[in-house]
Amino acid sequence: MIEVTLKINGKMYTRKINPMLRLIDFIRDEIKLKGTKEGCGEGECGACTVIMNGKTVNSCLVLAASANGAEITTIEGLSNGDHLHPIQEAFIEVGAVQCGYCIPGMILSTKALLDENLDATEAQIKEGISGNLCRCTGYTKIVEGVKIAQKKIINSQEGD
Amino acid sequence: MFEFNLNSKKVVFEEDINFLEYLREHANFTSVKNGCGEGVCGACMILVDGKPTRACILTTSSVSGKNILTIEGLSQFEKEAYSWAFAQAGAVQCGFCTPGMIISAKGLIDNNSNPSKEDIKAAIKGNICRCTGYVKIIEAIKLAATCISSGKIIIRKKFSGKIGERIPRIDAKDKILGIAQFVDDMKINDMIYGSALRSIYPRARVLSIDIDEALKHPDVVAIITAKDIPGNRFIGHIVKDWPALIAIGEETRYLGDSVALVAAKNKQSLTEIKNLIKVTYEELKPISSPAMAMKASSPKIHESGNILKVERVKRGNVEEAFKNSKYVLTNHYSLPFTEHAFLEPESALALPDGEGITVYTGSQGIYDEQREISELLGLPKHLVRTISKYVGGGFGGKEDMSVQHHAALLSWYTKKPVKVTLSRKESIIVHPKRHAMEITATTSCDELGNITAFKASIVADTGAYASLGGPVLQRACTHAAGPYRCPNVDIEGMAVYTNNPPGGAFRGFGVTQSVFASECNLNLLAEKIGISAWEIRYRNAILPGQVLPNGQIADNGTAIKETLVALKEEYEKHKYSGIACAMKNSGLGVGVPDFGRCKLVIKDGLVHIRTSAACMGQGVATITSQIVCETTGLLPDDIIVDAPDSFLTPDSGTSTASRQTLFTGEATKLAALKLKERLLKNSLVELESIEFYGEYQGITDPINSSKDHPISHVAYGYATQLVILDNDGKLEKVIAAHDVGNAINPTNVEGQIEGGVVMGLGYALTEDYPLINSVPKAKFGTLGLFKSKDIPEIKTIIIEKNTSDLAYGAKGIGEITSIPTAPAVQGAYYKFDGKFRLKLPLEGTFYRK
Repeated sequence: MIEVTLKINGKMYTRKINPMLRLIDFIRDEIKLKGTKEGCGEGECGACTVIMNGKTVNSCLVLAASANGAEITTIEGLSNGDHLHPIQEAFIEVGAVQCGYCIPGMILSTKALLDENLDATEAQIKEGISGNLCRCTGYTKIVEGVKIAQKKIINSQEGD
Repeated sequence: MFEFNLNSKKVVFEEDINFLEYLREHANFTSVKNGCGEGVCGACMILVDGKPTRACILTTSSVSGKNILTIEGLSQFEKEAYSWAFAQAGAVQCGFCTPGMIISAKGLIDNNSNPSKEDIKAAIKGNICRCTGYVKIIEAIKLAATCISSGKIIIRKKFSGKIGERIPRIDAKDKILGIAQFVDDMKINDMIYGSALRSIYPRARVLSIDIDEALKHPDVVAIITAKDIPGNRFIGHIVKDWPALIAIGEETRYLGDSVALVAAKNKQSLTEIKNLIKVTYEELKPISSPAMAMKASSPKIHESGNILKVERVKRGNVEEAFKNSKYVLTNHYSLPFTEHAFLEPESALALPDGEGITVYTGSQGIYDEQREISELLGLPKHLVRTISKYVGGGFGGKEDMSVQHHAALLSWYTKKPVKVTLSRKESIIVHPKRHAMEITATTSCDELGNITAFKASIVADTGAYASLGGPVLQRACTHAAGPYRCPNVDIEGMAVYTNNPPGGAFRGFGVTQSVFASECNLNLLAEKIGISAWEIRYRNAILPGQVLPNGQIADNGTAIKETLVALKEEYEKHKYSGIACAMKNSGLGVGVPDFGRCKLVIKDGLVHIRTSAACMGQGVATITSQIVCETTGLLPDDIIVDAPDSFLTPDSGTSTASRQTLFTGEATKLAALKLKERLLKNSLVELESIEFYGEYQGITDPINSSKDHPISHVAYGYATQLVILDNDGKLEKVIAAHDVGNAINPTNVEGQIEGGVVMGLGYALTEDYPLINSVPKAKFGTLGLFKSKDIPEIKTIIIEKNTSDLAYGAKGIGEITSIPTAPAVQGAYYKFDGKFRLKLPLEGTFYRK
């Protein structure tokens, strides 16, 4: 067992863990944040995407131990109580959610993309979420959702 | 004796009492709130001769001769304007101050139609709000003033929930927040974990199972084998041929077969414990194709033999028609197994519940699970409760038992809550796939391109177990000739057992395969005649009143031609455009009992919609909500959709055959009509605890009906899809025109079409599930699933012309979205490089070598 400390959604968590424990298990089972989903366990589907130090990672491919000291954002860290993040609002408005299993990961990839490049073009959006598989929507409404999110974020910044 | 006008009515009252008490207790105007009773808070604000005044500091004597107005006395327009403006601005939180606030606003606006922010602040200075910080209330009053002075309400975000409205999905927010609970997200005190030890050979005789070493593991709770099953070991929705566990002496039939079940204190130990179980096998050569299985010398996979089902659809005389036709052509097509790859792997959680058991699942039909589990455990159904959590995609792949029965067995045996979740690797191996099929198809036509006959032989690889192989084969046969006038058909199908994973339900249900053959044939015929692929379809497309290839007469809502017309211009405009049509039934049809059921229950002033209809992402809960809104005039906020629960929600059948919107939709409408009648005289609150039940049965004729024109299905959806390639042979655009009857929620319909099209594109170009000697070779990363950057522009066109009042004219949309895509892609590539491809996934394209 080794001791690790991770900052998840702004809160520090220290746990003694098996060195082989994956980050996704740390998040789901130790911290009990169930928004992060396991779709394939082999880094293909992106359902377990979280943001680690500003970059998206497949949390099924990262050992919790190697994330020691890292700052992690999961889907639970995006909204503020009942107040949704603009990406979340946009996904609802446009109907980008069907079964919903890919959505937390999809939203985090979107966030990481827009944090880096708020003006991403359609091609860049598609590239940005290309690590996230969705089997329901055909991606069209997801891409639309990202575009609406861009506008919402830009508008809110102008509002400031 | 005191007289005054209250909301324009003359009132005479004997006593001199506090006016707030009078309003609430005697006049029953409860909009007027008692916040402090001492004239400070303003929650009891009323208009006295147009002036906002606190009721709590008035008496019946002091208002004598005056005109009094409360919220109840606002005009309908004012009520709407204020409530819209307050909702729109988000000015309502706890809501207690709101009526008084609106009265103050009215007092202002009646005298000043364009108040400034300062005016508003002054007007509500006597009203206290502890929730909102006033900002949104000021905004709301500003909005209300605009509405009232213009006499118009600009409704942007208020939803009536009526049919055709793009209301946001009711579950979207939970899902967006990540708080929507899927089974694997559940945790229950004292919960343990379960997993199946699977066969290591597709076909082998199990000689012995030694669990002694494994039982010594410190984390083991129980290990069970076939002999521990209390009820019927064999399960299956239609044919009971699938053992929950393979017994000693029995043969395994595919790699997903389970030999033992392990329950452990923690997830991590499951693999260690399974590795300690010693199973000895006699390895046998797998029967890895229908051709092998059909040989007379082939060993029998099941006692009944290797043929699961033979199906024949015959009308007219094809041989005669071929003789008399100008053009006749035959091709052989090969279609692969494909994997659903829903994003949520299978998971179930079972726990003891009194004398019975409760199982939380995420599948396509809780009553299927209840039936299978009760038979397996030898328990009466009423002791098996199945409850659905959110379902992370299904597409047909969550119709059979995969984990539910194992979780139930382990829980029954250990008397503990047990969760069984498949790894992705297991999921890919275990649940039934889209059938691989070999199809020989012959189509003939006259010199004008009128189809004269269609003949096909279909051999479906139904794998190790029946699953839904029988009905899938039947739909493949009944729909093979497409939505065309074709007087002579002879389609013969056979579903054959092999040692491959079971073939089962998958969006399109066999039609995806058979229509690929018939549609591709049409392109070649068109070329021979010298007309376009669009033209040959248009000339043959079925019109209302004409006879479909299965003998049924197309109803008045049939709009296949309209879907073709919608795409004509685009088809002709592009050099490399491929086109294909399809029809797909809604409902089980062919005489199989098929019910939609819904119960509406009024609780705490809200309508609870209760049906067992599984939402695996298609949005049926939003649909039933809109049907209740449409029927009763209630608003989405008045409605709660309860989760499917075999103890609470009536059996509305499986989410299969594109049936829920029509069947459960109609049942919901019938229940809502009863509610509507009561609402004429009663408020929701007065109807507390009353239940309104609706049931709809789709009556159809059996498959072997002797009628000339049997009604095989209650409704069919129709579609035409157009696939356009660019000059490099890459997908440029897909336009999908769908006759959906009537779109209850157009956003949902678009979502289904877009998702189905991409699945169809994958089927055409990239998706595969290769097997070597019955061993699946695919990993999640090699299934060939389309990613976002692979997709072209997708445009959807919704055609609504249905006149039926069943479920407000809705027809199914789930499956048909994936059916015409692959042949349209094939046609586009034929135009692009002149290669007529006979196999999926298409070879030699930009997407695959």
